[in-house]
Parts: sequence; C-alpha cells; structure tokens
Amino acid sequence: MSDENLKLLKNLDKLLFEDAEEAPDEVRRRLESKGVDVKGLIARVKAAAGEAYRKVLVEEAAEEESRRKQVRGSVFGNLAELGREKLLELVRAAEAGQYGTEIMARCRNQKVENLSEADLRTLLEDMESTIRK
Amino acid sequence: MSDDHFRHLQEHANEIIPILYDYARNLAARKYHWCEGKSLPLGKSPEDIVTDVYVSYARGAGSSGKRTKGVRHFDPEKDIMLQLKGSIKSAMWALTDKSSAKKEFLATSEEDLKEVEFAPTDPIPDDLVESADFARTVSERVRNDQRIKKSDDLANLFMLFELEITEVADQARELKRNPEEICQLRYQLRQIYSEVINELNRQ
Repeated sequence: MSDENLKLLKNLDKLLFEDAEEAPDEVRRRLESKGVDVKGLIARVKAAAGEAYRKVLVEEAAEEESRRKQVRGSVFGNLAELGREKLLELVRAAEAGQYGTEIMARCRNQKVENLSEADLRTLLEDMESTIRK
Repeated sequence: MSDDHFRHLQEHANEIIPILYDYARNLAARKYHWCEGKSLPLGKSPEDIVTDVYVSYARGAGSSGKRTKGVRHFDPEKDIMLQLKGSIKSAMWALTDKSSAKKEFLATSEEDLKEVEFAPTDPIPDDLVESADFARTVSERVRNDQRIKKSDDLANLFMLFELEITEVADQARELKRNPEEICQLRYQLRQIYSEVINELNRQ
C-alpha cells in the first residue's frame, strides 16, 4: 500500500513539474493570487543578474589588461621609447619571421607603410599579446 | 552566443522568472517540505535559488567559457527552460545534501539535465519511512478533498493517476473528454495536490 501511495505521488508530481500547458501569464496570476509580488521578484532577479554580468565583464577586462601589461615589452622591448622608423623596422623583422611564426602570421595583410607611429606601436603590442594566448 | 543567452534571459525575464519561481516553490514544497514563511537550508528561499541560478548563467554569459564555482553555461543544443529548471533542482539539492551543505556541485548543463530525472541521493531509512507516511497522508487527503468528492470528473481523473494513466491523451480517451477539458481538470487537481502538500508542510 505504501508503495502504491509513493507511486501515486510520483504520478501526481507530473502535474507539478511536467505540465507545460499553463501560459506564463497564468502562472503569474496564480502566484499573485498567493500574495507573491511577481513584479518585484522579476525586478530583483533581473537586477542581480545584470549586476553579476557587468561585474564579470569588468573582471575579465581587468584580467585582460593585467595580462597585456605583463607581456608588454617582453618581445619588442619598451615600444614607448621608439620612433616610427624603429617601429617599422621591428614590424618588418616580424614579417620576416624573426620573432617566430605566430607573430609572422599576425603580420599578414598589413599595409604597415601607411600606419602612423601610434598605430605601429599598437600593432606590435597586439602581436605581443597574441603569442601568449 | 553567450551574450545572446544573457539577452534572452533579460528580455524574456517576465515570462521565465515566474515559471522558474513557481517551479522552485513546488520543488521546495514537494521535496523539501518547505512552506511560505519557512527557509530552506542555509536560510535560503525559493527566490534566492532562482536568483542564484539566474546570476550563475549571467556570470557564465559574461565569462569566456571558464568552469568555475557559481558559473553556468547554456548548452546551445538544449532547451533553455529545461536547463534552467535542471539548475534549480541541482542548486536546491546541493543545499539540502547533508554531507555537503555548502558544496553546490559545479553544474554544467549536462549535469543539471541528468538531475532533472529526479533521482537524488539514496534515501536513508528514516527518509523512506517519512516519505511513505507523507505519501499515505497526501494520498488520503487528496482523495478525501471535498472538491474531488463533489466532482465525478475530478474523482475519475484522480483514479486514472492511481492507475498510472498519466498522459493527457490517454486520460482523454479513458474519460471520453477532449484534451482541453482534461488539461482544465488536471489544473484543478494540481491545485488540490499543491494545497494539500502546503498544508501538511505547514503542520
């Protein structure tokens, strides 16, 4: 008999957990009829999720920045001190494979002659960060 | 892809959150004897569970595929609601697991989905006795509910559940009703069942 009761509950549980016919609006109304502040509930959960999402993005950005700082200068030295010609020289050396195949691959399809000094510096920094990924 | 999931969660929050909360309340009441005004283990409420799960997926959407505690990722191949409900179940199970009350297992979608099948840890003998007593009391109270006693349709539907005929189509055939009518009756029976459980939990 106890087994039968347990089986019956398991069957009735389908009503609670598996019946998907009820529309979200009906669920909402049913909860509200039990005194649940559904609007407040949604606002609280959404706000918590939004905050968590933003926090993760900030953390990831900080981690990325920290990583970039760590590798900065590890391949090409202190780029801040170099002028355009020297930067161009480094890019050409990288194109020629002097700093390995990964960096050489990053040089493909780059028209470096037209790049400004700042752009060349950024390109070289990007290459440095690429090889650590 | 992850950003899309997060956007989906936020844009459809009005539909998703009430369903998840309802699921969490039902699960807490049915499986963990929770009722309004009482807390789940560690002082959590069904709303906390829904928030934790929602936040864990939000964190998963913002992070680049890391498998860390408190972070979940959607499996794009699987139904989102099923994954969310699985995670609710997993989070609640983790709370009540006596041996590891503070250790929610790092749930991937796969793990969550497995949990949906309602096969928690092996019950200890005391739990079994309690379940059997609880089942007997619930069965009796539902059977003797005045609404069921007064309605042949509800009584017949309840009998079909006793006979393990649980699908809408089968019930419609047995009771010579259309599926919409059966759904309406199921809704009423669900209300009664839910009320009986909540009443017992309050006691």
